[in-house]
Formats: sequence, structure tokens, C-alpha cells
Amino acid sequence: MTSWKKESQNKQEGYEVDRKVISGLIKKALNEVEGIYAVKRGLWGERIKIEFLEEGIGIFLELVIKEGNAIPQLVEETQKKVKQEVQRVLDKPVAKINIKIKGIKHTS
Amino acid sequence: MIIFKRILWGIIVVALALLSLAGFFISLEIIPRFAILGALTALEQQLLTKGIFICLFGFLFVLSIALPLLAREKRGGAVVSLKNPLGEMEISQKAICGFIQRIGKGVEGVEDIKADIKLAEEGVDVYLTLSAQGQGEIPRLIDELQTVVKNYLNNTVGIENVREVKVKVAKIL
Repeated sequence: MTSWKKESQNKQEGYEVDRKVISGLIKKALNEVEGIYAVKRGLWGERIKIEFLEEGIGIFLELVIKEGNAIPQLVEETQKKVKQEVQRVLDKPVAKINIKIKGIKHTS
Repeated sequence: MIIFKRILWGIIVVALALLSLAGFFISLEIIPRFAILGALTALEQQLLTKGIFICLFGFLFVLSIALPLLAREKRGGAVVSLKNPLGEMEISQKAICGFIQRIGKGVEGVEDIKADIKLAEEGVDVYLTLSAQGQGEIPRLIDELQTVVKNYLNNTVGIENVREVKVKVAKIL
């Protein structure tokens, strides 16, 4: 699963990118999506999981969304925004963005 | 899988009942304490029985931790799973039920409502249990509620195959 090692990336490109950086980019992209309320928080922090796969970066998010949005469209918009932001900054392919909706927040 | 889980739950419940009962009888001194101590000492002396009891209590301990976690996972488990070229999307049952309850309360004549969703191969079944206000017409209320919930699941959540919305009126206030 995690065959795209940081070490090999180091040798080839002379730098490595910490998961926290990718996580920050994801949060920045999520802030730009109107219908997202928050990233779901777990016992060990926000539920953002990043994996380095053969095909690129794999992102797994658990989100709480605002009510009133069509969920499939909102998820697709979020996936597009996150993918664009990560690829633009890191110039690395994003293989997949899996999103789990954990809550729908009533916002008056 | 469900039968297997039921068996495991059965084992843990029986074990808990027996241990509680033993503790109860020992506290009342119906079972003498020295008898328990004697039995435990005898167990300690034989390696095989000691090993068996270590495995048994270890298994019960693991079960006591794992089963509640599995049940918790099921409650919040994914009900809708959609795929697009960018990845996958899942919506937890808890999120959908919570929101159905909120929109259900918005229907005139509904005092309180509880929702449950079951995923079948041919579609999704929704079960609603409600407390209705006495002055409202119940058939109209149920009809409106079914339409609202079905539309919400079709348009907002993206579930196209809502098989049926079953409504049970539990109370009329």
C-alpha cells in the first residue's frame, strides 16, 4: 500500500513533504467549499488520512457538511478542489479522494 | 456473520452472568472463599489447565472490548456508497437518520420522530416512528412525511432507489 516511500522520493527529488503539509493544503481547499462545515474530529485529532500509493497520493476524509446541499454534487466539488490544490502545490498526482459524510449540520 | 456475532454476544453475556453470580454468592458466603482459593491454587499447579484458563479469560477480555466497538461501528456505518472518477463517497447512517428526523419535525403535525434506515439489494427502506399531534389528519400527515423523506433521499442524499418509507404512529398527543 505505502510503496511510494518518502526515502525513495528523497533520492529522486531531493525533498520530502510531510503529511501535515498535505493536511494543511486539504484544509485550505475545504475552507473554499461553501457546504463543508468541518472535518470530523476523532480521539486523535482530525480525521484526515493520507497514504502514499503507487499511483499517487490517496486522501481519506471524514466530513460534517451543512444542510441544504445535494450531497453527491458537494462531494464531487470537494474532491475537485482538494485534488486541484494538492496537485497545484506539490505537483504530485492525487490517486483518489474518498470522503465519508459523518454528519449534517443544521445552520440557521 | 450475524449468527456468528450473536454467538459471541451470547458467550460474553453468559460469562458475565456467571462471574456476577459467583461474586454474589462469594459475597454472601454461600460459596466459601477458601473453596475458591483452593480451586485457584489447584489450577495454578497444572500447566495445561493454567494455560486453558489464561486463554479463556484472555478471549473473554478481547471479546468484551471488541464487541461494543463492532456494534458502535455498525450504528454509524455507511449506508450509501457512491463512486466517481475522483474517489468514493460514503454517508453514515447516523448522519442521514439525524437529518431525516430534523426535516420530519418540520412537517406540520409531527411532534417527535425517530428514523432508521435499512439497506437492501434492491434499494433502501426507511422506518419512521412518530408522535403526532391529535388535531392533525393522520393519513395526510403520513403521506406528506413519506413524500418529504423520499424527496430528501432522492434529491439531497442521492439515493434513487428508495423502496419504501414505513411509518409507525406510536403516539397521538
